[in-house]
Amino acid sequence: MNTDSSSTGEPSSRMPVEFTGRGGEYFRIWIVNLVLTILTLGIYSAWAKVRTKRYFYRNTIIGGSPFEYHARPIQILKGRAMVVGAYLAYGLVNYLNPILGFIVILVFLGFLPWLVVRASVFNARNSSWRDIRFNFNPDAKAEAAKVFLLFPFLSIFTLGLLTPYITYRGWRFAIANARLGTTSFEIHAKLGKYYAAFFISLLMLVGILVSLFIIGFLTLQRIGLPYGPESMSAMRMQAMLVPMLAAAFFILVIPIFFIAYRALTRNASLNATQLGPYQFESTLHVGALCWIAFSNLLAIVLSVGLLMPWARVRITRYLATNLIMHGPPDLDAFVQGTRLEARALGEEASDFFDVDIGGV
Amino acid sequence: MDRVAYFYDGQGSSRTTVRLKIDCQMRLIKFQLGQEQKRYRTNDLVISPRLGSTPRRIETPDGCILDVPDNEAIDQLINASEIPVPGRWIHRLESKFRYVILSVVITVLFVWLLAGYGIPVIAKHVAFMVPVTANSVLGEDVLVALDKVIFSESQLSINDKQKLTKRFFSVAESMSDDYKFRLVFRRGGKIGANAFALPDGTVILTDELVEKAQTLSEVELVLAHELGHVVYRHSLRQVIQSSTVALLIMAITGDVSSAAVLAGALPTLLVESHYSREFEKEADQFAYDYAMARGISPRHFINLLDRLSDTDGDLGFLSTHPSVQDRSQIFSAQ
Ligand SMILES: [Zn+2]
Repeated sequence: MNTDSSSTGEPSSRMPVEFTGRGGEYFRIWIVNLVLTILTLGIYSAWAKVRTKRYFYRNTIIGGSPFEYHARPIQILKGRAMVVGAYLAYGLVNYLNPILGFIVILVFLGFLPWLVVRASVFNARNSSWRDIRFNFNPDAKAEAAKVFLLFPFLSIFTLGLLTPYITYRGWRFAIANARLGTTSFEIHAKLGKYYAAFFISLLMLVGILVSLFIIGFLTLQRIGLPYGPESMSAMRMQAMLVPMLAAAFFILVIPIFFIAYRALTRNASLNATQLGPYQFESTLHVGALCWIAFSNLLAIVLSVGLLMPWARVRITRYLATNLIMHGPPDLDAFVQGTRLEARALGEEASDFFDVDIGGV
Repeated sequence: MDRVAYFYDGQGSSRTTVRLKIDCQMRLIKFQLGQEQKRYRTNDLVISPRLGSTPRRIETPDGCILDVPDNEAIDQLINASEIPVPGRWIHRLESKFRYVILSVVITVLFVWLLAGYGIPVIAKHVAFMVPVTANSVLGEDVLVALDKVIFSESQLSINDKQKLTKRFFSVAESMSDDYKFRLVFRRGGKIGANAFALPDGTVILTDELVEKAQTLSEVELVLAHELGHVVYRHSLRQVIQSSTVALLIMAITGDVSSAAVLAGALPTLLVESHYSREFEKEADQFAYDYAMARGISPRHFINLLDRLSDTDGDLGFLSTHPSVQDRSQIFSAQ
């Protein structure tokens, strides 16, 4: 740790988050989890989830101390059973009467803010650092309803121009409602940064498209591919080329926009985040992140999924080491306060329906 | 011997480095915390199961936590004192090379059996539970879409159309009449000599295929093949199988993100081409059985396929179907 004396004279040090997980080690945990889940017809998946989560938490280190995940597998199993039950019930209702099925979806949407808050509370209360639990404001349901229902609904009519605002509110929801012990997280992000991130990502996308088009055009001219359907082989080439280019477009180019947007908004949010006397700094680089994402994808595809654990460790390490905490080096000012229990249904449901609550 | 450990009191976030002493009978652990000497009976401790090389977490009865990086020392302590540590054996599986290899083999075998046999059987049962009327919803929209994009008006004579329609219904009448069987003529254009079956019982026949055929029986067997796809409900089964495979991949990778879906694209493609080959075999079998029942020589079907493979471009009947060699085998093996 290097200590630099800032102008106020208070000692402040730069503390990067460390990640000590290893691909080979996680592979063993992953494959054993998988096989036990198969052999128990899925029941073990709740234990597998806790073990995986603990592995990543215990290997994420700030100030020399790891995080800990406390959820009990049986809580998660109950949550999973309820979600699967609800899903099957919905399937049956939808099969017998599609109109009723649609009403069920609407009712579910009504419950969504509650589920998101429950998931956040469950996750926070079951996470700790130096045995101080995190917590999440359980009364944030009205805010969740705005961020996850009202604004997305309104954004349908605004051609996506509301998207940066929704991202901004999403991060504010996730950070400003969270606490470590009795200390609240604060966020002072400027909305303008999110719009800047949106347009920079969009420009990036357009730039790549234009250059791809130019490269493609030049290459076609170079190899002198006839344009007309004169020869059969040219037809074949074209018939193959068009879907290949389309696939490349969707697999490679579109994700670049999302990766850039998520990285830039994550930087904007975390750079404006404070926890007591501590200030955060996020130094994600769009190019590096794109490289990791695409090489991970390639590795997973070519290894038929066996390199999945390695890829996950790799991206986690990158995200961790690019988060830096600045502040008093002794880190001993946080206090537990009271402890509360949390039930698991919210988290499982949001997992199942892939609710994304901010974050890359 | 002393072990380094980190002590947290559960109230505040201060961390104290302590020297942990384990007595030689493994009955007690003790350490100096400031002025205070802390001692705990081993049997009162809650020790977390080993997880990779992460530090061990020990909970003391008075609500404090010790993180101990030396996993070996803690394992010795657990072995000697027989403290119950739920889930200890999992680390034993993870740390032995042979169990890891065995896990890989079991997982790969399971996924292979499930994708190759389990899912098709389940999809078949589910598809036959869906009433025929549900299939007909799919058909009409597809034909409208195809008409817009690919097909143009058929140029066959009324006489040809009537003869072919008669043959079509002679195939169709051997089957359950829940379907709305009909034969539709179109000029194939780009897709050339081809025939398609829609799930509701509609069969589309292109002019080009009729022109390639030398006898009516050749077309009749192609129609039988297409109706085989209908009665075996291949479209619906394809949809069910593909979505189940996608779900399976998500379950395995434990990830619902777009990256996982993309990562699953290649295996899904491989599995799907396997599925469609199985479907073609079923439809060929149907056509073969029909030919035998009506006393038509199955040679007719092979003859037409041979002729198509000589002249067919990339987008014809054979591109949506297996190679002629494969199928000739099915027919001649019987
Ligand atoms: Zn076929």
